[in-house]
Amino acid sequence: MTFIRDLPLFLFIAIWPVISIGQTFESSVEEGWYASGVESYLSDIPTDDSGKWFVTIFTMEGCSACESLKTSFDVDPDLVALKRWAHFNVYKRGTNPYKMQMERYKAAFPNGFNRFPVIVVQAPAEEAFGGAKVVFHQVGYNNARSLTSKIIAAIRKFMDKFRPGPTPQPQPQPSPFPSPIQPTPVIPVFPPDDVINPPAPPAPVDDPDLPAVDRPDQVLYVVTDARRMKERLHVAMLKVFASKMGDKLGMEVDIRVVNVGDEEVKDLGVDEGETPVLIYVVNDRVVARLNGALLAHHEQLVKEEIEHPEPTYGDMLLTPAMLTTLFGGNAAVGMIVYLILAFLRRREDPLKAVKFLRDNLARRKEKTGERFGLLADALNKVQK
Amino acid sequence: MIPRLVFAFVLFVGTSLFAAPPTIHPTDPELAYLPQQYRVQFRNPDGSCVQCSIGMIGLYHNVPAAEKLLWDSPYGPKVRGGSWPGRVRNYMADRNIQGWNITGQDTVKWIEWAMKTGRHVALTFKSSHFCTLMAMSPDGQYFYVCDNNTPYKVDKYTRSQFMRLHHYPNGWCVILDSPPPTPTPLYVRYW
Repeated sequence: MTFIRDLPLFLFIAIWPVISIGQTFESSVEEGWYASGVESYLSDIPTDDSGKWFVTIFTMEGCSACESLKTSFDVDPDLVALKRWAHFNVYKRGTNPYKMQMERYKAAFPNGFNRFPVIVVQAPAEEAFGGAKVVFHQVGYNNARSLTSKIIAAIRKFMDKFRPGPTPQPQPQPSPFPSPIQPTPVIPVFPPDDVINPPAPPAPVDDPDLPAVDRPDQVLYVVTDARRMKERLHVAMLKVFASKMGDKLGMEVDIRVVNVGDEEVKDLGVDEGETPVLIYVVNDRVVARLNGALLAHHEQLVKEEIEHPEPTYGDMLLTPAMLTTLFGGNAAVGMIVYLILAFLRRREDPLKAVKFLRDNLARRKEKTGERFGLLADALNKVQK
Repeated sequence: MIPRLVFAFVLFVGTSLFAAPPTIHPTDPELAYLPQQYRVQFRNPDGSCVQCSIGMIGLYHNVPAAEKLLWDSPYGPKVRGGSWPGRVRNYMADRNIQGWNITGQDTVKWIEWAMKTGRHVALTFKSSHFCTLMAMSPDGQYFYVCDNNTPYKVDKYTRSQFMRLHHYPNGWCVILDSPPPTPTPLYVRYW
């Protein structure tokens, strides 16, 4: 009787492992269900996509260019391919993800964005690429073809740096200058590679009520900081340069000299530290910018590069150290011989300055690419 | 009797303190990507831990339909209360939230994939509870979990603690099919 009374308990204990296994089995058959609005299916673990690039666009409500850009990323074959190839994110101004993203972007874009849409292309976050570097950044949108070509060009340039082997050297171009040329401080000298120098970001994002600026179709701003005495000298130089450029191009470019704090240039995102700056705006879009402070150093840089060109094999034989060795370790004799030879070499090649200027401009133009192509062309014409 | 109760109480408190996970204040920027002021919005109000956790990863992944689960929104009415895999699957389908709803012994593989690719995971953690996994150490030995009952902090667990609390191999996790957010950029002139 006792056995019969306790039978349910025994049965329960006996079948419990079966129930447990059943539960485990039932849950295991649900592994990896992919759920979406239209489909639901068993899925394998996706491939590791941590090596993908990032294409990010920032939009805002009521912005027709933003809508156009988003549509282009859905219909234009090139942009669709780019979207699939990369991690594609869209952040809408005012949302929490946007605010979080802006906090991340503080270092690269300290003032956030004020003009939309903004397209940012970043390398993968992997160490091999140096960690999510921004390789392309554009404010505004015109057409898909132009955007795609700019992005691809930027990515190619970036990848050239990581590609093993020698980097392609610029091909010599026919001299754009009549010879001899007088070095004038109008050739842009861009900073060397790897200099952390973020492009001037637009005005603060938290200030949505910036007054709309009524500016002509083409305007060349000379932005200065009136408090600095040194800059007043630069301004004169920039003014001359700007007017020459306008004349030579035969364009109706409105040249305006403004102070860095003026309302008119607030949306161009010029920091006080980078003045004087030359900003070329076409249809409310910044086409090119040139740091005027660099112009002032131009002559000095040219001079230094002429005096200290990249050494060739022949040059290496004539270094002070080598000469010292040749003269039995007598450093004084070696140095004197070196100086005499250096002086003679310089006198041998009086056109070296012209050659350097021509090559320098060609190289700069190649390095800066399309973004500064317009400015480089303008400079060529000014030189002529 | 009373001394025994006191002893038991002291033992319980002592054990609890000893077992409490270390609270960390993340210094790694990757970890701090979901800052505290955003995490606290997802404090568990009424036993909606699953929706809180999915909402948190929805915010992180910029998926508003998931982010707004706890509240009435254009994506649908608020979803509150306890959930199970079938319910989650249904409301993900209703709101067109794309993602993976994983149960069983493979959850850890999926979790590791998500962590390596920069994604957050909502997962079963502790007793009848759902939390958000925010990071894993590169060697896979430590896990950083935000509990929606204490969203102001992120707790660090060893792998064995994590496995136990995740109820491996009977865990359940939700991962959104969305790219990881854009990482903090470096602006280095490359040309």
